[in-house]
Amino acid sequence: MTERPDPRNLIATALDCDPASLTEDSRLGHHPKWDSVGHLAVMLALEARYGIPLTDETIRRYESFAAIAELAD
Amino acid sequence: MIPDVVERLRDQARRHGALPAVFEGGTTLSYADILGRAEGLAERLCALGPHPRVAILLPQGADAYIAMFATLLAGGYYLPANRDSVADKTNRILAEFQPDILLARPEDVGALALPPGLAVWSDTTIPASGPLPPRPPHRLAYVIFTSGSTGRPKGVMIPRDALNHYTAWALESLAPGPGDRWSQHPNIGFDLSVLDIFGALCSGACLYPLLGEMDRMLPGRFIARHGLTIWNSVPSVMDMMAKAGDITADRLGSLRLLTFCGEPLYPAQVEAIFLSVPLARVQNTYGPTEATVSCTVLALGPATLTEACDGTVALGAAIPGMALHRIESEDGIELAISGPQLADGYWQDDERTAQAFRTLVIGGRPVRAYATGDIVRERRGQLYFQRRRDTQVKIRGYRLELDEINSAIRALGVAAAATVLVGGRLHSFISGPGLPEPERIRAELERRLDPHAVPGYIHALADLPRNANDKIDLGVLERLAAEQEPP
Repeated sequence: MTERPDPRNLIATALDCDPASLTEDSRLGHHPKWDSVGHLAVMLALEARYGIPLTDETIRRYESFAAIAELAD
Repeated sequence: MIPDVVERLRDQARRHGALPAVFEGGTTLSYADILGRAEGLAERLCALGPHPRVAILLPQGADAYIAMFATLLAGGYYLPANRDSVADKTNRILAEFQPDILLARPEDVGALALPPGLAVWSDTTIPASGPLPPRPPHRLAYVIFTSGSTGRPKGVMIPRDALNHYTAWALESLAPGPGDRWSQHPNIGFDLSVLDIFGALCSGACLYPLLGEMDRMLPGRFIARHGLTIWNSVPSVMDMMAKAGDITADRLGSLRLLTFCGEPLYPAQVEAIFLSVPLARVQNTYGPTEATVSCTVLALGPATLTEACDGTVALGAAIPGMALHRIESEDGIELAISGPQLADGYWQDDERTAQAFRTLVIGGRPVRAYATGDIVRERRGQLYFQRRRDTQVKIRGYRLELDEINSAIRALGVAAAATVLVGGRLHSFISGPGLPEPERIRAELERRLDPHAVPGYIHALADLPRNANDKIDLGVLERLAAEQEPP
């Protein structure tokens, strides 16, 4: 069985922040470390872990904790 | 006599009409296309009066560039507005500028409260009915708005002669021409875009605006895909490229020149560039909006980089025609600037104009100069940015007065507010009776301030710390903020 990646830890690792600092409302521009460079790190992590390609559409779609959390459902 | 930018565009269209001028969304517009559409729009603008006052709220791209040249062709002057600004800020800027016309896409004006009677045009493709007669230019070329400490934005009035002087320097220094493929990264509300737009379209080069999220997130791949030869941005864009692993010969190998402005350039950023493209020319430039984009230059090479670094890369020497002056004060050495690129002052704001634009006595003669507020230090003949004299900061190249944030917070009924920038993030401290929840404050600020100006942290304190002079002790707040920063 493949271990399911935990979105909270994936985002926290990408943003280099405490996982507990992420809430359901965290998103680009709404977390101290989720700025444009942070979002790039999040997208690169999603590409590596979930195979999500980087496109204009995915960059907009996965700009929140809630949207990324759905990937693990 | 320095040639006018309009004449330079006309000259390029005459000599290289079929050459590509703008590549955008898979479509190329030639120099003949750009001039033809600019003349068509200029003809319509001429009907508004001898010097039409034009607000441009368009995405970076051909429509915006055409609108700028059209305004200048029509003898007018324009306001380049950032389409990504929050509606509240755009409303304030339009109310200050009171344009004759707004050039914008319909979908971008729906949320705005436009001044009564202001017409909006969105079509820049209507051809001219005939040759456009020459029009006497207005003294100004553009008025660009920056952050103001009271919350009221400051409109920096740039004369047309200043734009012509700056463009002449860019053409001489960067030597662009047909065959060059030039990035267009900064949005048009940020005056660094002036270098791209006038440097490229007055030289025969082709502009490549970075429009989509992916291109802006991964600019190294954009450079490689289009074989760009000239790159211009704030230095922190290199951090994006580094994070993506894109500072490589494969990605950047086509570049012959990288030019930076708008925030401190770090040696590590330049070293990474030289490792991947050792033959590229890298230059640092410095200058406030009030001196037309930039007024110094420092050419860097792998062998000479360490001589020009002291924590950051040096600011460089004044470009021909401009001069740097050192004003001694109790805060340190403040840099002042004089020369033909100086702004006329701030739009309808004599008081702030008089504070910033002063007469210095240089060699026994009075010289009009702009006091930058930048405290600098000197080492081995090079100048380095040290700190601001006031609370102005730069965030990803955006100039921001921290008091703009404090004013916006106080407008929400908060008795006291002070903001510091620590670790690249904004921390606002608030105190007073009946404080709203920080998240409510944040939600309101998001409506009133641009995204880069919304604080990452809002901390409530019983009282703001004060120093012996009863001023808010920003040093203590910076230490408190540092304790909140992630390790």
